[in-house]
Amino acid sequence: MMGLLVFWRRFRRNRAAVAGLAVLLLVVAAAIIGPVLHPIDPFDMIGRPTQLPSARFLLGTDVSGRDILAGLLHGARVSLVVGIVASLVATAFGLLVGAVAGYYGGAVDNVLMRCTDFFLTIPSFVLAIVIVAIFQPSIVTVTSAIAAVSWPSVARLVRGEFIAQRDRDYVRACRALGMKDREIILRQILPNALPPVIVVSSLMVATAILTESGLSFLGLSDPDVISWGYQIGVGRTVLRVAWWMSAIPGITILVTVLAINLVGEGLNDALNPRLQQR
Amino acid sequence: MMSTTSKAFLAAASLMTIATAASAQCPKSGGTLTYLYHPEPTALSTVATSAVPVAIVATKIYESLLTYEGAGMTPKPGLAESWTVSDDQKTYTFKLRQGVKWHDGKPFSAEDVKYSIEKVVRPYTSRGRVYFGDVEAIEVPDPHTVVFRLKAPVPFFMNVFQPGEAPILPKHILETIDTSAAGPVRQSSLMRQPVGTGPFKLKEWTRGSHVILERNPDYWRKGYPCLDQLVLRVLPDGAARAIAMESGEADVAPMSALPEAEIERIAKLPHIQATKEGAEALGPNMWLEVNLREKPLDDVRVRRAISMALDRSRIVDVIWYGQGTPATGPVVSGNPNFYNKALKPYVHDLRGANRLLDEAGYKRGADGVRFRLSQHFLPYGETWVRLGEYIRQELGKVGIAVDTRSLDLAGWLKAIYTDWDFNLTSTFSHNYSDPTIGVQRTFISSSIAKGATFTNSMGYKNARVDELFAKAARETDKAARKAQFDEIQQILHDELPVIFLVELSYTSLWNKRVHGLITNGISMYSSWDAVWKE
Repeated sequence: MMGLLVFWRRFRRNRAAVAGLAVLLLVVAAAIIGPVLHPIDPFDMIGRPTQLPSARFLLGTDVSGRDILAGLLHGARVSLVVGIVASLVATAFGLLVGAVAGYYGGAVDNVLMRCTDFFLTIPSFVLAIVIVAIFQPSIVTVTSAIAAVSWPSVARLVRGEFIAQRDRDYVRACRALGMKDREIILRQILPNALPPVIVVSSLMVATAILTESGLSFLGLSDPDVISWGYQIGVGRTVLRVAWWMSAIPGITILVTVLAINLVGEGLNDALNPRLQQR
Repeated sequence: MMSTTSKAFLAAASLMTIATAASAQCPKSGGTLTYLYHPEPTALSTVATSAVPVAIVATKIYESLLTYEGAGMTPKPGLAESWTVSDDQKTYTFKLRQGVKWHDGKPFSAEDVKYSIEKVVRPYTSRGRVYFGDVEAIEVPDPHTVVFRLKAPVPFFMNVFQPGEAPILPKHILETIDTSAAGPVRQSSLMRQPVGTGPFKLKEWTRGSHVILERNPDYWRKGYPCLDQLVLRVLPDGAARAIAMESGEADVAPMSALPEAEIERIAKLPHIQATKEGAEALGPNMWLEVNLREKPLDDVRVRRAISMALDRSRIVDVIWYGQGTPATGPVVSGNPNFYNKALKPYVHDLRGANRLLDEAGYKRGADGVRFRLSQHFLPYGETWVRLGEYIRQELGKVGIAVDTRSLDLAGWLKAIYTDWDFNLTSTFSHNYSDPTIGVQRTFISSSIAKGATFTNSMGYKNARVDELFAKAARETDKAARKAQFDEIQQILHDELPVIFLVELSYTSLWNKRVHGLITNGISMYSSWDAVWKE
């Protein structure tokens, strides 16, 4: 409890981060209760197509006469869930690979890091496109593809932390006490290595949302699910006739990603207080 | 349409010969014409598939015996210079043009015609068996004469020698290909590196980007083609295609190649000409193809419920921007000779659809879902995606959960017409002027054949329909033939082997500096040899 309070005090010092957090909470709230407050199916053709925002359709209608606001609210769920799940999976996998590689070193490290290099050398967005194209677009394949291209950076980071920690005195003491490797990794080193990982994976949520939007924009999204990138992709076909159709979800993505980045920076400040004294 | 062609054909028969069209000159020679289409063709010959992107490009490379003039499709000389028809209408003798060369320099002869029709067109193209099923023998008395002997008169025989429908391929290359099965023919080099007799020959095909055809200097029609080059640019993004037309970067957007939302805007630009003409002989009819082999779609009540759940007027108004008419059956209402006017429009009735599904024994589960279906959509661009979304949405309202699968053209053709691995898919088919040509192949049981595209993928078998089509194909009495087609239309309207949705209409757009595009009822499937550019 005390720890959390200290954390919050540090976090609060970064005004931008607090603003980001507020925006992010708003987006999360919209995703959770939005569809309840505005119960319109985002795929229902309920009006004339390409209408400007009006009292009846607050953000207008898209090319098929569907309510853009409903799409935005439902899309928030998809974008956030894909972003968060993909980051969690990528972080977990990156932690595993990085921890094992960093702790054991030698041949294990070599094999794991060369695999990681393989993923790092291919541009991640291109790799995600290839994965989704091969496995047919669905919400599961899109999330998996994003996770698959995101974990290597976590793995590299964790490995570095583990290498730095593994020969520290406290780790040696644990070994001398006869603690098992698994226990040392999970209970002793991991908590010390975690703060930078939290920062990286929070920023990864933002990247994941952008990647998902990029994929949907290209038509590589689950065709049965609405997301912000999909809305931009739909609007793109009539960009010359109805620019707002793409601009509205575009701004939403911009604001959300910016908010997550600000929060990530705030986390960084709070978790690495030494950096603050720069 | 039928009457004009038969009149023309009688005139031709009585004259016995028709001279080569007077060889006018191109108003201007040279230049490159760029046209747009998406998706990219999967092949450069209609033997592989008669899909629109393939047919547009292949008809510039491969030719047939005849060409056609006017919306009424009057037969004119093509590879055949003249022709005669016997009095009993069972023997057609074509005199072929001399000195015609294949793109590889080898001479063209009557053997090429016989070989192409017998070995490739008849067995493996989607309408080949309809066109040439009654041909008893093809004879080659000399290298420049070919004789078709028919078992019985075929009322539409002068209509089949269109470049996309009965393309003539080089025998000397076909002989190197295994023609015993459809697969090797559709995979053969002639599909990718075509060798035809047409006004244009392949220069370069860069996948995913463009196809460049260049002038065939040895073309038999002296002084033609007018253009030096014909370029197909594949721009997957509809907005980009519209901008290419707007900026003048591209010259032609044939057959609704632009998204419907943009056609209206582009058509109003001062340098653009837009028309619905030049496609009179096609009659595109859009429907949902249904795989009847599995439950629950084998039940006609379920199909009627699906039909009732969809609002055709909304599909026309919202998705096709008003370009089209709600369909009532297999023959489009614009067909003056064969449309059955007694057909009632389909009603949109969600309550009725729910009731039918209940009756059929598919009760809603706790989650409100009766059963799940998968749907594919024709991969021809954004409009078809929107249609898929609408269908999923509307069927969801009556308790049918739909999962959409997204495939590229090659994958889609394989899933629907080779693997039969689908529940529902949107597609359209060209009606042509005569139902025997355009409609029969989708609904007769003998066209349940894996691999041939745009055939009876549904697995629909109805003995009465088979019998009526067989009769109508040979019926020379017009009233009797009309009655047969009327009955077929009524049966298909009621049984819904496909869910008939919308009679589409094509809009072609071009830059006003281009001339001579609209020549007949299949203008975009014609050779464009006299098309010229300022």
